Amino acid sequence: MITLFGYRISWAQLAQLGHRASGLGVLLYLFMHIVETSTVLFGPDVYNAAVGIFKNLPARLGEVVLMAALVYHALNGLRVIAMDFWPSLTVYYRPMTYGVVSATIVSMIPLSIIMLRPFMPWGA
Amino acid sequence: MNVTLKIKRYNPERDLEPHWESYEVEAEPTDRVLDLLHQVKWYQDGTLTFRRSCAHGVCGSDAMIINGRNRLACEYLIKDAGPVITVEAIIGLPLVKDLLVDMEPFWEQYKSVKPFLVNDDELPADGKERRQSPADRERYEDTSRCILCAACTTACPVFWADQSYVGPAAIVNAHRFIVDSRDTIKQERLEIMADPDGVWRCRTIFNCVEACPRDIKITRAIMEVAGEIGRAGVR
Repeated sequence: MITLFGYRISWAQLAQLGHRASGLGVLLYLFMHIVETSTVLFGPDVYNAAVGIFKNLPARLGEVVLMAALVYHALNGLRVIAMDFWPSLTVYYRPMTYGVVSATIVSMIPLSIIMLRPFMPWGA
Repeated sequence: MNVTLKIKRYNPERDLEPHWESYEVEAEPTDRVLDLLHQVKWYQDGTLTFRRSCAHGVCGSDAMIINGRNRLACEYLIKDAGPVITVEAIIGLPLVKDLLVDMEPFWEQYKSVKPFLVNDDELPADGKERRQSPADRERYEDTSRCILCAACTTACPVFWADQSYVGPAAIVNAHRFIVDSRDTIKQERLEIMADPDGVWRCRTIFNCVEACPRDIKITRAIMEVAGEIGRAGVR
C-alpha cells in the first residue's frame, strides 16, 4: 500500500501530483532556457559555449524527460478543462486518467526515438 | 477467521504522538470493521474511543481511515478488508482521542453554506406545498443523499493543507439548494461558493468521490456549481 500524507494514493491523486510536478519541471526548464538564451548578449562565443553544454547524451535524456512532462501536462490539462466545461465527464475520470497516461506513453515512443537518434550508433 | 486489527491509538493525557497497537480478534467474513472495533472495546480494551451511532451506514458517524482510505466502519466487510486491517482517525480535523476527531470545524463549514431551503414567498393557492416538476427534483437527487460523514472532506488534500477551504461536503450541500427550483436565495448561495475558499479551490483530485460511501458524484456537483457561478456572472 503506497501512501501519501498518510492516505492511500489513488490513480487520480497521482495524476494531479504528476500534473503539479510536470508543471514545476517545465517552469524550471523555462528559467534555465531564459538564462541560456540571454548569454547571446555577451557575444556569439559565449552563446555557443552555453548551448554546447547541453549537446550531450545526459542533457538529451533530460530533454526527453522534459518532453514527456510537456506532453503529460498538456494532455492532463485538457482532461481537467474538459471536466470543467462538461461536468458530466467527471463520471469518467478513471478512464480519462488512464487515457492521458497511455497517450503520453504512446506519443513518447516515437518522440524519444527522434530525440535520441543523434546519439545512437546508427544515428546521424 | 483470525484478523489482526492495527489501530492508531492516541490518548492526549498520556501520548505525545499517536502510535499503532495491534489486536487479534475472531471474525466472520461478513462481519464489519465496526464489529471488530466493538470486540476490542468490549472485551480487550475499554478505553478504545470511537464514534458510531446507527451502525448501518445512515448516520455517518463512523468515518475513519481503514486500510489507507476513508470508509464507514459499519459498511466495510472483513472479507473485503483482509486478514490484516489498519484503522486510524480521519485527517484534517483536530484529533481528540484514538479514532475520535473534533467535527466542529466541519460543521462550521457546513453551516456557512446555509444548508436549508429559503423561500419566504406567498404559499401556493391551496396553501399546502411548493410543487416542482420531476425533472427539477431530479437535479438535486444525487446531492440530497449526503449523510455528512465527512469522509469526502477529510480525504481532500486541499482540505488537509488548509482547513479554510469549505470542502467537498459543504459544496455538495450547497449544490443541493442551488439547483432547487423552490429556493429563492440562489444568488447569495453562489456568492458564498465564489469565495476564494469556495469551489475554486477544488483541484479535481477525486479523492472525495472515491471516499464517498453514498457514491455521490461530488466533483460533478462542484463543477456544476462552478458553472452556475459563471453563468450568473458572480464575482
